[in-house]
Amino acid sequence: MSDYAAIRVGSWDFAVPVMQVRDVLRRNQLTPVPLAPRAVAGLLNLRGRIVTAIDLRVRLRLPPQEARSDAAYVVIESGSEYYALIVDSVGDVLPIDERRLGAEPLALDPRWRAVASAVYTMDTGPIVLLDIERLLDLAPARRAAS
Amino acid sequence: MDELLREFIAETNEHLAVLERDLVALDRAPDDSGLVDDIFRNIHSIKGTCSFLGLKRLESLLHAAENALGKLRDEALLPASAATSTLLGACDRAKIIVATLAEDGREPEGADGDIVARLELAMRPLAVAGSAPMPVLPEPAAQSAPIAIRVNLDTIERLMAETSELVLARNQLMQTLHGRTDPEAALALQRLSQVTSDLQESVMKTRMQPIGQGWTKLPRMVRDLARDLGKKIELKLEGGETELDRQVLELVKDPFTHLMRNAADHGIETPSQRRRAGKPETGAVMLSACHEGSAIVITLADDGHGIDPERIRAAVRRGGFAGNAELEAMSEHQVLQFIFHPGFTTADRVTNVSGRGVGLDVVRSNAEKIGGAVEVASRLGRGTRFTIKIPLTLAIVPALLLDCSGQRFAIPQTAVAELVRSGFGHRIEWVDDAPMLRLRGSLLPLVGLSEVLQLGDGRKIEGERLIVVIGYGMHRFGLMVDGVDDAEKIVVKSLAPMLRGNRIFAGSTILGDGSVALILDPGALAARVAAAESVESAHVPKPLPNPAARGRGDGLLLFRAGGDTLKALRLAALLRIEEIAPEQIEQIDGKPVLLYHGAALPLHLFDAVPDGERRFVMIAAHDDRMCGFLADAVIDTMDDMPALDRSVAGAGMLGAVTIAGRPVEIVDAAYYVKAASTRLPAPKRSAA
Repeated sequence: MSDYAAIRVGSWDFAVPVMQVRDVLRRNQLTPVPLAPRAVAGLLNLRGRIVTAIDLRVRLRLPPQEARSDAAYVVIESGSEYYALIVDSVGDVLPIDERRLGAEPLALDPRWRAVASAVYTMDTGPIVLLDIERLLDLAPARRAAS
Repeated sequence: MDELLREFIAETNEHLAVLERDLVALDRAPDDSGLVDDIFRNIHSIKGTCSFLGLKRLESLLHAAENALGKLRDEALLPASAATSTLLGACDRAKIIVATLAEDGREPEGADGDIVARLELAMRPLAVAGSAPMPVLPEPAAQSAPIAIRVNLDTIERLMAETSELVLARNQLMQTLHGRTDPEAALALQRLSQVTSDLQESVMKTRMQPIGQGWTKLPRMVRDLARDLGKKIELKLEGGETELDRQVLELVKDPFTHLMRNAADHGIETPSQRRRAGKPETGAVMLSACHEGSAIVITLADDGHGIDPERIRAAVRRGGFAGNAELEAMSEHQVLQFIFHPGFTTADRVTNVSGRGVGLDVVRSNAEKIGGAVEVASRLGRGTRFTIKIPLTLAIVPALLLDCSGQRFAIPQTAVAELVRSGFGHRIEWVDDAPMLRLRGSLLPLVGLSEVLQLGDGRKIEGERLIVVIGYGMHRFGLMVDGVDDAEKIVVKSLAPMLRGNRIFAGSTILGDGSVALILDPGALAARVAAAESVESAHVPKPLPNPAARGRGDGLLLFRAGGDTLKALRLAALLRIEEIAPEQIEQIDGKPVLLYHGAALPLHLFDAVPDGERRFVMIAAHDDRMCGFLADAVIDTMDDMPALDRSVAGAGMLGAVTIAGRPVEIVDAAYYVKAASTRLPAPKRSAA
């Protein structure tokens, strides 16, 4: 069993490994980074540490949304750097039974294949487990965007 | 590895470094019996610990060295150079053993019979220096309580990082509580603030090391180089006690080794060449360091044959680094700077010591990476001088905050030469499609920050613009911004790997108000400007020497004004140089004036011809009054003023100097400014 934190972007459900989550923040002052990959929303100050914020909506190539007043920032650690994933809401911690992890169903959106480690089927529907390292590798996304 | 051994290794490395230094010194002064004693004691003390730790191989090697040295001492023999070399060889071997010890935790296999035999051989008496009395080993100084302890570097680094965070937290707290706290809290905050600052300073001090620690290898290196190259070189070290951050010290070690090799190989001539040139056979290389504000200035000077600008010019042409016309227009100082170009080489001689066309560019880029600068000055036949100016510490950088399209960016203060507002006196001109700022007679390429960062619409240059003049190595350019905020001391933090691609940002930092700001990399900006320039360079008019570019107070501007005698003005007295048309010169009350920005500026003509083609006017100021000096041609600038001969001083002339064998009159600018203002009403300014 491993724990995953459920996050929601638009009407889609995802989950990230709780082991890598360091904090969850609300509203924050972002400093935009010119010339950065599109998915980088900016930099924020978390108790003296500089955190790179990733707009998960852009990263997962979901349709943009106008107002996002109640956005949550899920702070994760990867390679000794901190990143904040901007999501619409954060849900429960899900204990996930690896034995019940199915292979990616063919129905998985091709946009997410590169960043999904597995798809888990909940009573409420499928939930895409995100691979943080692949999620933070923006090179393919950048090429696709340009 | 056990703690005792680790400590022994650290200690022995230090002992060996001292030993090496002393042996090199002994080589130069073989009759210094005090030095022999020092060396003897040093070897003896390492050996003692060796036997305690059961390090057999090191012990027997040092024992042989000690014996040999003891013989020298007891029989009062003068150590021959061969003996010193053998002892240095033993020292090298000991280093190898200690290195393996540090790596594997035990001594390497093998024996040192070769060295031991050489030691015995080398100590055979060559000459008996009379029957001097046996030197008595002085009593070792009484052991006092230790005043220093060893601290692991990681501990200090962590302490430093935590202190930096504390400084940031303090700054944020002050910002948050500003103006709305009761007096008691304000007092506590003030105290916290003071203690934090003191703590920061103390921690910074723990990271400070005397620069001499980075020089320990140099005497040996120069000695070996001199032997290999058949030269006589004396190395003088000065200011070795000057302290700087150990991180910075690590970064400048290699550049120095490189410059030192260069000086020994290319700078200093062979003894016979030096004799022919009327110099002492032994060449001098002087390395010195001193503090200058929050920077450390390190100078490496040699009295060798200097750098021949003609050879540089030829190599520049050969390598296609610049066009002929461009090269002709350059001053000697500018030509010299090509030695820092990547791939540049004069290549008519490659030795195994240096001269493969790599290196000086690395020296420069290493220095610039840490916000420093490298300069070279050289006089043919007299010597070369490299000056490296680097910040004392990298952890906390003084920075200037800039506004651009509603965002704040930081730029290291070291790169900022000055702030200029375009408008009166500083026109923005267009050369083809590129904006240029006319600043004190020279044209400065301009680049808009919003354009570089692709923020907003970029090219709005109409009206007044705030321009930050950036000086970075050979590059000087103007950065157009919307506004300039405070200067702030910032802690540099690196960017996430995904943001390192564009290289415009050197990092990020947290400002006093808690917001994050990006730090601009002046080097990357300079590279962009240079790339744009090379496309447009065909259209850039000949650059005039820029007085402001020479920060030094004793620089000179050489010019010709009628007659053959060269004249010079001190750069410190000059405001700017303007290129003018002859019709701008008029006569008022029979005196020449320059119609300049709507005002009449008194003009001194010397014997220059005020008509014909375009002329240069050097504008000098004294006590808020100005005067122009008309020149037929501006020749060059010099960084230093040679020795001034005051015997020829007179009205309007400070004296004379000799430059390249020619007399040059030094014009007393203040005299003419005063004289001009008594005969003319103060120049009135009309609205420009």
